[in-house]
Amino acid sequence: MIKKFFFITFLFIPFLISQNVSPNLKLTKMNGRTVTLGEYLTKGPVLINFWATWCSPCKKEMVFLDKFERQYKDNGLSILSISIDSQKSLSHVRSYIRANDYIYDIFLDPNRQVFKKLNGNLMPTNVLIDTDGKVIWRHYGYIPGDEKNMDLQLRSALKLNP
Amino acid sequence: MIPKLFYILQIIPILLANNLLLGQFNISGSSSINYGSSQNNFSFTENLIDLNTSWHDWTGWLQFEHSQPPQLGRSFSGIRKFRIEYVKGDYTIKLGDIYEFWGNGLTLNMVDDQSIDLDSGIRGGLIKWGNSIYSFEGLFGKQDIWRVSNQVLGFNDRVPNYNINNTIYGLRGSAFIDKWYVGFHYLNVFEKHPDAILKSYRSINHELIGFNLDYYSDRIDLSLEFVNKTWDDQSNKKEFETKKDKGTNGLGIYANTSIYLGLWSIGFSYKNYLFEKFSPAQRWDFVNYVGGALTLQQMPTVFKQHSSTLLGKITHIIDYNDELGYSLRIEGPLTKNIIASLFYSKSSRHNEWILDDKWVWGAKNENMLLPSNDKMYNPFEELFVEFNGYTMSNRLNYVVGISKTYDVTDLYTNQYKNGKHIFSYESIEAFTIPSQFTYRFNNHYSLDFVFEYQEMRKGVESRNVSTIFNSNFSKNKQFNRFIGIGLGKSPKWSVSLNIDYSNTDEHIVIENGRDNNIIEKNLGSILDTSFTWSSFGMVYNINQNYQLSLTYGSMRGGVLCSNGVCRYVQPFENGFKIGLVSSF
Repeated sequence: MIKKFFFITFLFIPFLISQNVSPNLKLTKMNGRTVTLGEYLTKGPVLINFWATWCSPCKKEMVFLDKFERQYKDNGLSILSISIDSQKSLSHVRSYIRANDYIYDIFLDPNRQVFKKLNGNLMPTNVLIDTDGKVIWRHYGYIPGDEKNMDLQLRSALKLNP
Repeated sequence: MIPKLFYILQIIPILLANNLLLGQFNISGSSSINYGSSQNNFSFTENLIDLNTSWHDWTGWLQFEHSQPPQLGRSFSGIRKFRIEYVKGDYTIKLGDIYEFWGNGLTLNMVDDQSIDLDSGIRGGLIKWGNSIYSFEGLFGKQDIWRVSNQVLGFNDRVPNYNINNTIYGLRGSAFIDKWYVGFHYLNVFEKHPDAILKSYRSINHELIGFNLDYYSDRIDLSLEFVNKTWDDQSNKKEFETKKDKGTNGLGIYANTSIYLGLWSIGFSYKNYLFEKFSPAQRWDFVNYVGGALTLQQMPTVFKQHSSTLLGKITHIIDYNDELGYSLRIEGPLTKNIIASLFYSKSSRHNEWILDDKWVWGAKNENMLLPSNDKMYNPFEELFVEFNGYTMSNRLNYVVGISKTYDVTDLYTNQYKNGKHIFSYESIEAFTIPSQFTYRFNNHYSLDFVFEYQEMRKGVESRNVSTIFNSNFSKNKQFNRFIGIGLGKSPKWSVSLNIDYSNTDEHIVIENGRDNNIIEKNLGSILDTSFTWSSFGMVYNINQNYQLSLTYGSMRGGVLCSNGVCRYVQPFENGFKIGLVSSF
């Protein structure tokens, strides 16, 4: 049984190298209203960032995400920052964003359903999606300096000079 | 040879089907493989593979698990979770394993948190219609809750031994009216509650009716939720006649407001959860006492969730059946590089529980709206202040905090006799300074330094003739220090050394004794290694889809919490852990 399970899994892997995200994916804003990923993909590439108020590396990275949002917003980039704080600690999310003056859109995923749909496993998780819905870059965790690579990936997605 | 050939022939049709469907299906996935082995038998093999598929308006999710055993939880091999979803326009249909939340979670908040082995999802169906203003949904399903209890046979810290089955039906309607959001919901839960001794089930019917009201604007947020819960023991078996309890009315109220003044915010949260009155001897015994809050009700805790190692170990364990409290939050920038935040939380039980002359617990008749300071009400209080930010041209990131915590965790006796007050209770009093510094040398190399300091007094305070304090430790006070030193090279690797040391520990830990690992033996010349747990860790990003982690050493046991739900995790002594996370 176990052998079969792993065999079938590895059988699938070669077919899975090209990942796409459905534009129907529903995201919940802080006010409870929902939007679809497709609404952002029409403007340009989308960087989805999963974070939480209890995640120290996530918070270290967010200052750079804000910088990228300000820098590339006019080029069509959307940064969607999705908090996976549970329903129990959601009240802290907005005050944290306000205090740091971050301008990107914040979404909530308290039951980690979007996180799982985008194959998130570790925190922070970043997923860069092109306008066709194809995942073109993914990164787990944050080591200071990772933002340089992220910048390169964003510029490449936006077809800007490196 | 022949069985192998036969096996391959079996797979060919699957391969062909995959090729045919590949043009229309989109499939992606991730896997997480964890293996650990330690000297004290804290060994685990945990494998999880998630597959996500989409096809036009359909999406699917399949989770395989092969855990023999997992870090926490029961061994399992096979399909753990699955779901099919259809989303078109205003309609959503889900079949399979469902995780939803309503309002702030006072009625329903389904979570799957494997770090603490909590899974409150249902297997069933959901149908929802919603436009930009109105939304209606109905759900039904079965729920299988596993918990750890020492009231039934087979108690083990790591493996749950008590199983409750629920059948659930729910309805919810909600509407957005300008900046207001209002929702009404009804939930019916039929619980099959196994009896600890009689090897039979009690049939408990729970009904929850509630509403939530939210207001959201640039200047102010408001949130209010109320739920009324009733339950009824419908067991008709003879053996339960003497045990049959009468259902009582329970309620939950949660309110939260945040006011925004420029970049500053001031927040206030209030909780009042009283679903069942259980005496100090009954309150954690969910096997023998029914009718309390359901596992589906994962409500706001109204205290801060810490990322600090030492503060995490003294997290207040919330009693969802009986807790009253509030928190105050102030957060904002002092300067461009300093963000300050202050959190103050306070809570207690609703009533004082008193032992009568026959040593039977009884609750004092009170209607409190605010928490008490009196030790007989199990008070909890925490003040936490933190400063964080970037400085030195964004090269140095710092987080420095200070925390004062007081928590009466258990009340053992409380009696008023002949004009004298006799009592005993267990409490934790701690003063903690967590700090973390990250310095970036250039675009690749960075250094991490974590230092946490804690002074803790934990024990039983009692009064008969005079008041005495019996420490849980071999010394009156425990001094804990946690040091973490890490070096990282972006985007490839990071290494870290963690040292968790103390001056004393609980009597049982001292009696059990322990062997030092190589790192601790080397630290022997500078530290008393009898109370030192140290480990070395490495994380390597193989490529953007694979991350490998290795840990060698020992990790101190203690309470592991995730938002107020806590589990005791045994120490990991002198062993290694390997983890591989991938997405494909």
